[in-house]
Amino acid sequence: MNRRGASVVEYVLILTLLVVVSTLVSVSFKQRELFSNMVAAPWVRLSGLLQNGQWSSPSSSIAMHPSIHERHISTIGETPR
Amino acid sequence: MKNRRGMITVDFLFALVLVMGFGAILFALSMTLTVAEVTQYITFASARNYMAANITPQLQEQKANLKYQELLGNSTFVQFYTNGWFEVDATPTIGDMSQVIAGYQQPGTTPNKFWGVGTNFIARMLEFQIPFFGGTDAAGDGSGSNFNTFLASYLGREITTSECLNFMAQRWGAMRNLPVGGGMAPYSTAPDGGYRVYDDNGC
Repeated sequence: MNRRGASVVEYVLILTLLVVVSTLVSVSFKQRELFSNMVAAPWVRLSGLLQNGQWSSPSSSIAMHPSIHERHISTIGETPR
Repeated sequence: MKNRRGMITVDFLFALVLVMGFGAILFALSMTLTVAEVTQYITFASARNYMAANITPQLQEQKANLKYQELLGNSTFVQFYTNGWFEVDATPTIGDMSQVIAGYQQPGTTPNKFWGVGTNFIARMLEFQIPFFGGTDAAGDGSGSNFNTFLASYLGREITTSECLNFMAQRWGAMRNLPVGGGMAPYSTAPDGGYRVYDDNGC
């Protein structure tokens, strides 16, 4: 009795299962924009840090750039040792 | 069915693409942070040339621009900016950034002077597609232009000879307008030849 046909059916089913799982994972990645959230989303805060020195978007961190800080001086100085 | 090796191929390809995608992201992020530091140094070196005193402010800007072009054209650095992965301005932004950059001067406040050199930096290599899994920027147009920022160095600017001489001339004019009492002769009647300039370090 030749049973090789049963194995072929089994392999086809396994292959189908693999393809379905792969497709589901692929679609899930795309729908959740996983890679975009890993790269583009942090870049917004990183660019704010590079430009204005604050961990937030450039548009919001621009108000915290040192160019608009109040001028500060110390009239006391360091305590002598 | 003797040859079963093809069964795992689908799974292998799927996993391989995923791993290579993560690897590509790590490589792109590492390169971006590295080149951002290199670009930051270029603006720093340019700002250092801009800071040093000179005859006129225009010559100070010229020195800054020369250093910027020299470093961008460096045989090592130039590879970063000409292969399409990264982009910076052909000519730098020079001057008081609180006057140049919108938002650095908030209404009702007195901004600090931020003399220096800056450039727009675009990390185009951060935007790419990973087969089966999507791109690194869902809102991007494929050019990577969303990965941009502004890099600058602020070191201040020393006074120039022309500005110093101009200041001295203006000071004499202001002195002649000073109110003088007690029977003293006003400066306004003093001849120009009687004004001697003693400036620190010379103009």
